[in-house]
Amino acid sequence: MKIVFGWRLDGPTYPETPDGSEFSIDAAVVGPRGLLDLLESRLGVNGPGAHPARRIAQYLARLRAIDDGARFYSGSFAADAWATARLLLSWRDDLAAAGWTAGSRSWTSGRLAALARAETLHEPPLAPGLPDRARSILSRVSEANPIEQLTLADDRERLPWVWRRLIDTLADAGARVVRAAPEGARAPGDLAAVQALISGGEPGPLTGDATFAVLRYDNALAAAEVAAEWLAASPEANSDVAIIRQGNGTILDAACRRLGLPKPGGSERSPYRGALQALPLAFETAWRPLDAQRVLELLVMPGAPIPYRVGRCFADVLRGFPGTGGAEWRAAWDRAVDRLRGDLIEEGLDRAQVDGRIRKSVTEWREWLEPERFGRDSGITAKAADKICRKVQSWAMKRAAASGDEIYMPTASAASDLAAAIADSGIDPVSKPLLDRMIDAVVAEGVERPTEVAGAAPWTTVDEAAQIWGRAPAILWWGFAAAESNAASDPWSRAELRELAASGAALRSRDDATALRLDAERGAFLNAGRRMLLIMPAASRTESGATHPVWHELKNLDGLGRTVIEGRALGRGPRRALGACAWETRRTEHRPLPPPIRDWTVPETLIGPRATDSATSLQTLLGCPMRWVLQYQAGLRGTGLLDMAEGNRLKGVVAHEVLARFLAGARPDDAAGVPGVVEPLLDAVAPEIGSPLLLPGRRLDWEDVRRNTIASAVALSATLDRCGLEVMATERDLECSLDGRTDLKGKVDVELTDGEGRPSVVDLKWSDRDRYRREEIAEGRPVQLAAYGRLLKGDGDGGLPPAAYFMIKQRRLLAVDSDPFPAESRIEGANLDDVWQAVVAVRKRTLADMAAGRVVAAGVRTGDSESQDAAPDAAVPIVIEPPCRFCEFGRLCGQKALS
Amino acid sequence: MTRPSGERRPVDIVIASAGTGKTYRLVEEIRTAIASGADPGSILATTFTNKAAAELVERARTRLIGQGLADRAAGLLSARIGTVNSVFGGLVGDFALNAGRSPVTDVIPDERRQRVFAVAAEAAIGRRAAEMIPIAQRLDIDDWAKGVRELADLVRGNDIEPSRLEAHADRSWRGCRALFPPLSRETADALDAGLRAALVHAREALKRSADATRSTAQVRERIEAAAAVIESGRDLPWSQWAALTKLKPAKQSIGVVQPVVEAAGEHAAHPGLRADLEAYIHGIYGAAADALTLYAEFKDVHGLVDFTDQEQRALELLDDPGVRERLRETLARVFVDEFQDTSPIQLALFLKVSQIAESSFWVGDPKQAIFGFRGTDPELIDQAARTIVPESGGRPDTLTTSYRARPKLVEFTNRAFGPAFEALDFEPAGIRIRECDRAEGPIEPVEVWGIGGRTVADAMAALAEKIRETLDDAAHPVDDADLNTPRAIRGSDIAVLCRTNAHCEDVADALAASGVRVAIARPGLLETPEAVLAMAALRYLVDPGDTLAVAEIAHLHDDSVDQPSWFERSLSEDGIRSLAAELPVLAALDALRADLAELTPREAFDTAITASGILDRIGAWDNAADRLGNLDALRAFAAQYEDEARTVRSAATAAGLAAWLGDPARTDTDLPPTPDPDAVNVVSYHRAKGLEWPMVVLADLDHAPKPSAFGFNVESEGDFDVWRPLKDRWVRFWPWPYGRQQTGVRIDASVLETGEHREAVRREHAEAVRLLYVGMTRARDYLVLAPRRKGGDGGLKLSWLERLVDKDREPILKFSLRESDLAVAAGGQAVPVRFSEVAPVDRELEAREPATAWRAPESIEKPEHPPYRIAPSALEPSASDAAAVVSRIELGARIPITGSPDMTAVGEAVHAFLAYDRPGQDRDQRGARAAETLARWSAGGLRPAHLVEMSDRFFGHIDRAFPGMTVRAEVPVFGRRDGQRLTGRIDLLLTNGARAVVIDHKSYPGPYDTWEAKASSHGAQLALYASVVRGAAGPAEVETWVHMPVVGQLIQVRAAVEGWS
Ligand code: SF4
Repeated sequence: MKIVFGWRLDGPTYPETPDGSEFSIDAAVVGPRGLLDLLESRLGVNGPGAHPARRIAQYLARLRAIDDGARFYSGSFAADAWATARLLLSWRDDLAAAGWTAGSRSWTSGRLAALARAETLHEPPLAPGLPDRARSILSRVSEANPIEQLTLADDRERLPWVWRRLIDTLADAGARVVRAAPEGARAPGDLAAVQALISGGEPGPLTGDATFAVLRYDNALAAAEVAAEWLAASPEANSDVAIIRQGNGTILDAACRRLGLPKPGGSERSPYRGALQALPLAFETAWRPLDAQRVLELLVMPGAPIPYRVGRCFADVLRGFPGTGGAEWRAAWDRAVDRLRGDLIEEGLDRAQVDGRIRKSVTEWREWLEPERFGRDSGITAKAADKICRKVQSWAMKRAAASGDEIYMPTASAASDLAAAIADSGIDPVSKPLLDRMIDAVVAEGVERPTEVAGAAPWTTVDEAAQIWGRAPAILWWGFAAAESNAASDPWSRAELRELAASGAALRSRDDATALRLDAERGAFLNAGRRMLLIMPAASRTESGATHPVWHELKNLDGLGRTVIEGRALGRGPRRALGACAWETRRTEHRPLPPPIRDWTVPETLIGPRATDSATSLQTLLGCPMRWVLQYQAGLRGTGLLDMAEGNRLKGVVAHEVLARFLAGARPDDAAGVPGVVEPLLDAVAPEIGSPLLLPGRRLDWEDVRRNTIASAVALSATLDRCGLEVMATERDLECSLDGRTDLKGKVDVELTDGEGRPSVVDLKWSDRDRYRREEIAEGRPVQLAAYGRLLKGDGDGGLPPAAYFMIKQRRLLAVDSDPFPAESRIEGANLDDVWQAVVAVRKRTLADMAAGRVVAAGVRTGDSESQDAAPDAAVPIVIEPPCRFCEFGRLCGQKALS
Repeated sequence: MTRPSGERRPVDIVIASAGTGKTYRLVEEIRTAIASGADPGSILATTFTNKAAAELVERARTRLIGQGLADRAAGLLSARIGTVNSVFGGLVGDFALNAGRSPVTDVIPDERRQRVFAVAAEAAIGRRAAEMIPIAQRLDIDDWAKGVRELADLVRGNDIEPSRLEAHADRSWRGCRALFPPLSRETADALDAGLRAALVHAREALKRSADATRSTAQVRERIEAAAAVIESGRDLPWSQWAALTKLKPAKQSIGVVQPVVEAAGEHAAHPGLRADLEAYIHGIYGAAADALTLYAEFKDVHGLVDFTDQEQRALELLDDPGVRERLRETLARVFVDEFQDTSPIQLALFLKVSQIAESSFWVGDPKQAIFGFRGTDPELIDQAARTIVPESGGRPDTLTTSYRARPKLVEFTNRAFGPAFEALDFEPAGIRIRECDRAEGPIEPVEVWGIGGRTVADAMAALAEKIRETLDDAAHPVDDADLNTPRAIRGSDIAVLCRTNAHCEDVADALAASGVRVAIARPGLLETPEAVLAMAALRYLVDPGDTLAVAEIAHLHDDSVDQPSWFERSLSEDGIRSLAAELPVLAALDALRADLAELTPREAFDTAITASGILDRIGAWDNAADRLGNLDALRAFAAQYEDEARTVRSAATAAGLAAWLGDPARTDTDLPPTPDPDAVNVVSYHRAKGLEWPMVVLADLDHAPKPSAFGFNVESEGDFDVWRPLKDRWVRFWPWPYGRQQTGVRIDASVLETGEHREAVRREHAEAVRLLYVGMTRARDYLVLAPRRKGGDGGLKLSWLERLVDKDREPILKFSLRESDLAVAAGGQAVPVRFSEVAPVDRELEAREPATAWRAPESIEKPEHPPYRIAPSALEPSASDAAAVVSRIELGARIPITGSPDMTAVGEAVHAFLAYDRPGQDRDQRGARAAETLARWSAGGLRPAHLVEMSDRFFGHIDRAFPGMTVRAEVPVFGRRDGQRLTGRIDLLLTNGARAVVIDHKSYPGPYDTWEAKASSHGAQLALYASVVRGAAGPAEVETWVHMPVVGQLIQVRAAVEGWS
């Protein structure tokens, strides 16, 4: 076997084979992982690997076994066992790589002594890490070495001890070991100068001869287009190109695709791939109080554990009434089961089968929606955590089988790794922070996009410069910037290092690691054969402002400026030249942005009345016909998947429900008794429909709801008593005919009756100020109150019954009429019957306009519109301000300017 | 002094006035230190920003490499160089075990800190809610919990013991109480009742009154509102009491209203107000003390730290002898950049490390300390700088050559600020710049533009017009800083400085209206059409039911001349979703939805952006380059969303990103400044710090903030000890009880008499001078003072400039404007300036050609490329035409498998064994290895002897059937054809010169009649291997076999794969 071995060569490489040929057998270019895999499988000693998270859990168990409270790590271990175990395991692995023999002596350093103690335990077990595997294969290798030639891409001296040993052992066992040194300075022109500089020579000034070029961009999207254009400009040369695609490749892919080129592909490892989120979400929904937002997220995630059609029943309810267990939630369950039943019957199943399937599904859904929940402070039992892992795992396996999507397999293994880690750690119960860390550790390494995105291409792609280990005729380096460094500092003191050295362990210094990385990246420059193009973000664009370390070297080149092209200069003309490549571009034809439109037209009779209207929809119709059309006729809806009731809306939902229940029940005789009745209602209602208010950090909001609800119950109760009003019903659905074709429907908050049986209505409002409602009445346009009055009146004769708002936060009634309400609550300015007449008249006119094909976006002001500047029409008896502030269509009608 | 100076290690401090090459010197110091032997890894350097740190490393490394010290320069990459927080946070992390803390220090990002504090401290705050909410309401304070947070921050930032807060509260209350007149003799109830009666009486009287004037109507409304509050059982806020004292009805109603005015006038003497303030102050301090404890516990449990923790913990750590000893091994030199912006706790930190390292070097300029509001204390720093050097035995130094401004500009600043800083008692050596390394320009560099116009808008328009003229008339050549050659001025050479962000926006609007391009970060990113389209695409991608998103996408893709066509479509039978069939972008997004399960939120967003055709639309709209920048800024949000998820260790989904972007909290998101070199910069004075431009225009010269003694203030008592900068600090808090009623409330007058107020005035004055200095010293070639004119054409409004006073409080610069002639003098000497009157003009804007994009034309053909990489083992059986079974060889009987073991594990174990085992080896050893292998893979159902048997019969056959061929197991192969890469491993490869045999082991346990079908399903995989063997110059004849060790079969198959055979 012929092997090229380099520290960073696990993954794609350039050249792809040891001799650069198109085909190779019994030869490979590998990094540490790849080398071990090859050797172990050749020698028949490979085994199933242990996920790093499991090793941490195992080491944690060992550390705990020897923790007597006085270990150097005891304090940190008590504070955060997981992170401490992870850190110490990394120290331990470094020591192992340095050839440390724990039992070789008694250690003076307390830290080394403790680690040695942990090392020499037999139980609990610790799965081998890379250095252990390398060490344990040494003897096998010397018995049967399968490698004839080993080419080293790195300086052997910079490698950790155990790898040097492995190389030596292979050499002793007959492998020919050579170093692949980049030759450098064979390139022409400026590139030669660059190489001379990097290899320590004295280069002359750069001339800008295009063998070496730098595109410095401040816009990644534009840079991606330029890179793709460069690749498209001379396709015949692309088989010589090695692309280093550092960082995000999605936009480069898109730019290449636009030009008909294959996608260079490449995806970062990420813990945030869609399907993988089921694992954290499953746990995030297992805490008390419930985080309803997370349940919602689980319901709408791609491939959600509850089928979308059914899940929607729950999602819709959660958005409006975040919580579980309330009437709405129960209704969602009923709807969901009905839907499933309908589907199953349609499938042709018989009754028994249908019932059986429903039972099974309901159990499964309940596991996801209403699992056993645990307090965030007390932690989850290991058993329950295991159950959640299994649940996620089995879901993922099923999805994998059903959809064939490859992403579900890593998800399933993450779940089972987590279960194993929890078991290995022996911790029970697991606190939320610890659990979060374990999940983090299981998914932290992230997963690459499993589907191959890259298309077959003449060029070769690598993920980082260090993967270019041999001569590459042309290099395009996309994202030439400093890679994130996680330079932890050396933990060992001089005395400890002395002790280790005396025992024969040779720890590599941090500088060696840095140098190893740096040399490999400089190697890419030295290996460039004919041309090299760097595409680098301007320092202002990167978060750290850090440029690539090799750039610091290049800055010593005389005339470097001649090779640098600023991205924005490149975008400004028809001809682009970058490196040796030049091509033409075209100016895009101008298209104006859509202008605001006030008067919209439709074919006549396209828009007719709706079958039902409500108090709100009437208000909308009067305020802005366009909004009414878009919302109710076109059904445009922009509620995001995760838009849950929040802020005042949420508070109002809870206060409303509590007050309705309070008023519907028996009220205490005196005010002092009211809080005693309302408080339990608050406690019952909140988890059902206002669970976000109970989450950590929301106490002040919750206080706000409590205080105001209780105080308003007191005030409202007193007022009703004072006025001799009795509650007949709360939240009653009413309906009446608006005209022949449309019904008016609505839920009336509070229906009252006075001593003589005369009805009246109160609408509850939660709002920070009552000014808007006061003005509404004073200016004669309380459309909603009129509608409620109309609903209550039903088909009876006479005028509309009296109506009032009750402003919860202000604890105050705002009444159109004083009778039967207290005198001070009356706001002068409106007569409910008149208001209603006006509503009916304006509605009729607007509908007639629409039937004639005209729809007005009332909030839009344009220069050339006929209708807007006409003097206020005396015939319009009621004018409602267009509700643009709360309208989500502003960008369509043009009320919100786009520029 | 706390230590004898003999023990001290030297701290060198260099004062570097603006433009004197501070960074150059710092880099030089670092370079020299390394060049003369210091280990680069033992360097600790702090800067004000990450970018400054990166620049420092870059420049130092470049210089070291240039000197041939590349090896040493590498060490700088892992040195402790960064912001104060990153450096000391790193230190805290490194020594977490010494402190017994979690080694993971997740830093709470600033945006989240408020939320974390709220969660952690809610018990402390919640416990007091019932008491504090009504008080806060009466004091007209919206968010009292914010006060708790603010106080907690100050307490921690000054390392104050929470147990001392109670005393601070007492002391605050004592001071605050003294502002009020003596208490009323009436009880609180009586005063309340009095007001109530007056209100009710006035209300009724006004109802009956015939006074229909507007002013009375307003008064009536106020009275009614106040009465309604009281009648609904709520308390009237004190601000309302104060407001009621200012009622101004029409004359005829004064008599009716007067009793209300008088009753309300009792507020300052009201016992209720006094009680509220006292309780409020104590409540805030008490809550803060509790909250601090809870917050600390919370962070411990969750492994979180914030910036202050990093500093506080580092401070503790540096007292630990073990840590100090270890640091002495690894810390040689300390460098501090911009020391003037150091907070007291940071100063304490620097002093501590300076006493561990061998030597320290600090550079900065106390004259440029303008972040007083961030907890730095400029006076303290100036004092410290002056004390530390002599006491530590360090060397003081001053940089006195300007490399930035032209000589006359330098002279102007020297004259304007010299006496001012002297009056403020600054270190004399650091006040004036002595030399200048720039040549003089062709015209006088100091200009004054008297900006006319009655309204702010007029004035801004006039200023904008003047800037446009300046750009057009080519009368201001500038020196290019990079090339050092003169050239014509362009937009990006100019910066207009304003006091507030709001003013910046006004100026930017005016410039834009004059047709000048502007670079300014300003709200509105999410309102741009590109952002609307991008977000709609993301929303539609995650939710096909989002019909609004469909309409928005269709709207922005519409090219109809009239009304966009989606509107009518939305009213059709099938509704707007029927557009999906026609609009290619919708179809493209539909097609991508299935990928969501594998995409990250960021990738999903990028995918949505590119699939939605935004780039094409942007190219066709005006200002394509800016829009592209906006889109890039938007993309950065997706990264931020994921980062946030990372810090709270929670899930992140594409739908979550859509919701996060739509959060109302983000509506004010800034548009990034345009990168256009023709765009004029508009920035605030504060943000201008550290930057320079050829021409700087100073606006808002009449800006005069009001110093206030109210709110939170950190004060020091006793003598200042530089080595213990945090000693004896305390936080004073005087809440303002009257909301927006700022004047005419008694205490606004009485506070003027207090020492606290005078101190506030003094601090504010010094800050104003420093900020002006920062503003003026940003200019390289031209400095423009752009004051407005009184009444539009009168004298210049220069109140800020007039605050430059000398020791005798005499204004330093004297401006005398006669007709259109301005004379400026400093210290009795004339200062040459060019004056222009700038009057508003009306000008028609010429239409500009829209700036669309230049792009390579889109390819019409977009071939589907086969995948770049293929793994034969993952090939679907369908990848080949059904493989033909050529022959089958019976190796032996079926090996019994007991139970139902994991067949994957069994397969792995069999593979592993056959890779290594050969019949010739020692039998016992073979058995042992077989057992080992089974155990390693946890493969049940098989005994070790079975493995040996499989091996014996298989290799026995191989020896017989393929004698003399070289046998290799687990052979890595690679092949490249038509851009496709194939990688894999052949289980067993037999070769001789003319022939090759590829064998694949399949531990298939199925029944007899399925063997051949199973074997042929692997035909494609084997065919690929065969093709690679041939490609790698192997023999042309390659046989392919499937070995089924469990059922004892060897089956030869033949297949072909398109493109590879
Ligand atoms: S934004 Fe205003 S004008 Fe446009 S539809 Fe909505 S309410 Fe009507």
